[in-house]
Formats: sequence, structure tokens, C-alpha cells
Amino acid sequence: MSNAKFQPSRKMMVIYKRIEEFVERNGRRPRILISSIGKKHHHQETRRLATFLAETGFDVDVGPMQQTPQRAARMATENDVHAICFFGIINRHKELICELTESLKAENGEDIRLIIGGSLPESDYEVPYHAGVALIIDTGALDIELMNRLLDVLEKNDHGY
Amino acid sequence: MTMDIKFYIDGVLARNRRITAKTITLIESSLPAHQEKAKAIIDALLPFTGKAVRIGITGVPGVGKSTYIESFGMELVEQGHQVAVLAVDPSSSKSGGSIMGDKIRMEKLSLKPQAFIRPSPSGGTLGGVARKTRETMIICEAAGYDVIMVETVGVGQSEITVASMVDFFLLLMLAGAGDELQGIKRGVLELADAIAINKADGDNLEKAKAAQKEYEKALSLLTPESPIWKPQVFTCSALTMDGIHEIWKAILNHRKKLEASGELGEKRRKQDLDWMWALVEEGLRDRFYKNVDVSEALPEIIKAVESGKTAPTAAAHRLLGLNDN
Repeated sequence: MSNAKFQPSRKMMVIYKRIEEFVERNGRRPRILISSIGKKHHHQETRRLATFLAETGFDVDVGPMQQTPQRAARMATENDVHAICFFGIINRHKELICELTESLKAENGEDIRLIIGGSLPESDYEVPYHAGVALIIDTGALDIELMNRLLDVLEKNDHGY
Repeated sequence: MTMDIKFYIDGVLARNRRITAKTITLIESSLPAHQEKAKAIIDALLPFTGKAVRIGITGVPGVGKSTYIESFGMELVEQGHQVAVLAVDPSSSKSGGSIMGDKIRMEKLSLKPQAFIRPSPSGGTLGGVARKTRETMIICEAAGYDVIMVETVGVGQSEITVASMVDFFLLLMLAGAGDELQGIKRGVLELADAIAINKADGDNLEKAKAAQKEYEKALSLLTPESPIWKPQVFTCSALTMDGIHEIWKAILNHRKKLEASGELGEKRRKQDLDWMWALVEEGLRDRFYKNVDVSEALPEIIKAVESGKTAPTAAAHRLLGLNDN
């Protein structure tokens, strides 16, 4: 029993190392707000992502259900997260991303990175990326590849003031 | 890019929400450069603090702390107060990460312009929580918040730390579990200036009243910390708002008595000393881990202890000796 320790894979060790390096540069763990403007059916999805990220070493803030972009922006700036991951906006992403960007600006949170979560056909990726979204997370595929891409986004200009 | 300290000081005093949030981040940072700045900011802001009512709120998971703070905070905001809530959430000791969901249950309060709610990860080190929470309180007071609530999960050690930095310590409990006094550590009970039996509504009301009597009996057996205050037991409901106002009245009454007897000043001076010691302890720990001789010898010593070659006592002695050189 005593030596039967769980050994993370080598790829996973790379993720842990990247997070530790992030902490060394920024003085804190990567912190992300998971916000959902959708109703109950997003509950599972958001919870899975929250658990996955916290288990990997992120500090994760979870917002109330049906959070508006304005409210999400206020929570993100007050908690001072590095990124917001927005759920449940699939059919209205164009307008909601705009609202969120505007709200972040109004709260002086332009430095907060924008991520959207949920399943979106790849053919629809262009609009959100064009609108300033840094990453689209498919919660069906929570894996090491995703973590690497998420850390790529967070490491870009990661010296906030 | 980090701004100069004037940016933070002016921003906090101008009650800028974003800069206040950024200043707290600076305080929480583990980078020496950030801490250096945070220290200077705290020094500059200290003269603007000291008047707020500082309340510690604790209770076991599920007792309804967040919901209670939501109702309580809303009541205070309606009375014209500016309310800051600092919630300490436990970090995983394995991954280091955390999940902070306090605002899920503080939806109304979190939207009020008069409220500022900041959840913080405990970060694994208790000493860290002590310093960070204390200094974050200073920032919030300087930013004009006149009631500061510190919320912790009631599992023991961190409550003692928080109790040493607030004026009033409120313990939330539930009725009906039968073994009311088992659930919470004795030491935490002793710290309470008041106990509130939460969720005293509907079918639960009678049980709550019975629990109230139980606790009153239990408290009457303890020697009060202060000659001017006997801990009180309330029932309340964050749902119906019953009892919430009474608790605030008790807190104000407590405050008045503290001020009249001069005990508030005494308490604050004691808190300052506690603060100093917390900083000294943190600094000592820091110095130890940053000591070159220590960090060079550490891997080998760890291995020696793990393999049973060196006794833990001898290893500790050697490490501390290396630190002294």
C-alpha cells in the first residue's frame, strides 16, 4: 500500500511544471472564472471543467447560473481572475461576446482573457476568434492538449499589473 | 507591467473597485517584489483605517454561511453601510488548486455597488492566510468599507487565526443533528462572541429554539473572554430574515461596550502584536527555505530520512544549524 502512489504521466508533469512556472512569474496560480449564462443543463459541464482545472492546479471561481455579461465582468474584475470562461452562449455568441468585452472595459478589466466553453462546430470558430475570444474550450475533450492551449493563452503577456 | 505604489494608494483611497482588487492581488502574491510594494502600500494606507467593524463568521460546511452573509450584507447595505466580504477557501494540498463558489450564494449582495466580495484561496499555508487576510482588511477599510466580514470554513485552526484579527466572532450552527456540540471543536466555541442557530424557519424552528437553550447552557459553563461581554445565542433564518437584525444589534452593542471600556483599543493593540508575530514567523520560514545552504543540503537530508538512515530529530537539528550559519 505504502508505495502504490499514483504517478502522473510525463505529459501531465509538463503541465504541472508550466503551472509552477506561471506561479513563479506571477506570484499566484492561474485564476479563472467559470461563468454560465445558461440554465441548469450547463451545470454538469461547468462543474466538470471547474473540477478538472482545480485538480490541475488552477484557482477556479464559479459564478451563479444565468450570469449576465455585466455581472460576470464585475465578478471577474473584483476577484481579479486572469480569464473568464463563458458558457451557454452558443447561439448568441456574437452579441454576448461584444457585451462581455464592453462590460470588461467598463470595469477596467481589458486585461482579462476571454474564453468560451461548450460544443461549437469548428466552422463557427471564426466569429468568436475575430471578436477577441482567445480560446474555445470543447468540454467534451478535457485533456492535456487543452491544458497546453489554455496555458498558452494565459502566458501571453502574463505580467498584469 | 507593475504600476508604482502611488497608483495603488490613490486608487484605493478613491474607492476604485478594480484597483482595490489589484492591490489585494499584490498582497496575496508570493513574489518578493510584489510583497515589497504591498508593504509600502499598507504603510501608506494604515492611517486611513481602524474604524470599521470587523466580523469573523464561521461554521461547518453546509451551515449556510454564504447565504447568511448575503442576507446580513443586504440588510447592512440597506442601512447605508459599505460592506466588504473576504472569504477564505481551502486550497487542495495535492494540486494546490481551489474552487471558489462563494458568490453563487451571494448573488444579490455581489451586485450592490456598496459591496465588495473577494474569495481567496488559502494557498496551503496557514501563516499566509493570516497575513493576507489582515492586510486585505486594511485595504478594504482604506477603500471606505465600514463593515468587514471574514468568512472561513469551520474546521479549527484557521478560526483561531481569524478570531485574533476581528472584533466580533460569530459562529453559525445548525439545529437538529442531535449532537450539536460534537460537530464543532471546543476551541472554536470558546472564541465565539455569539452563536447563531441558522435555518431557524418552518419545521426547523422548534428544533432551533431547543438548540439555542442547549448552547446557552454550554456557554454558561465557559468563562467569558472579556469582563464586559457574555457570548449570546441567537436563532436566525437567512431565508425569512428573522433574527438577522438582532444579531447586528448585538454586534453594535458589543462594539459600544468595547469602546466605552477602552477594550477596543486594547484589542487592536493586541491584534497589532499578533500581526507582528505572524510576520516574524512567516519571515523566518521564508528565510529558511531561501537559505542557500539549506536548499543545497535539503534533497540529500530528505532522502536520508526517507530511507531511515538519519533520524528526523537529527535531520531537523542539522537543517536548523545550516540556517543559522
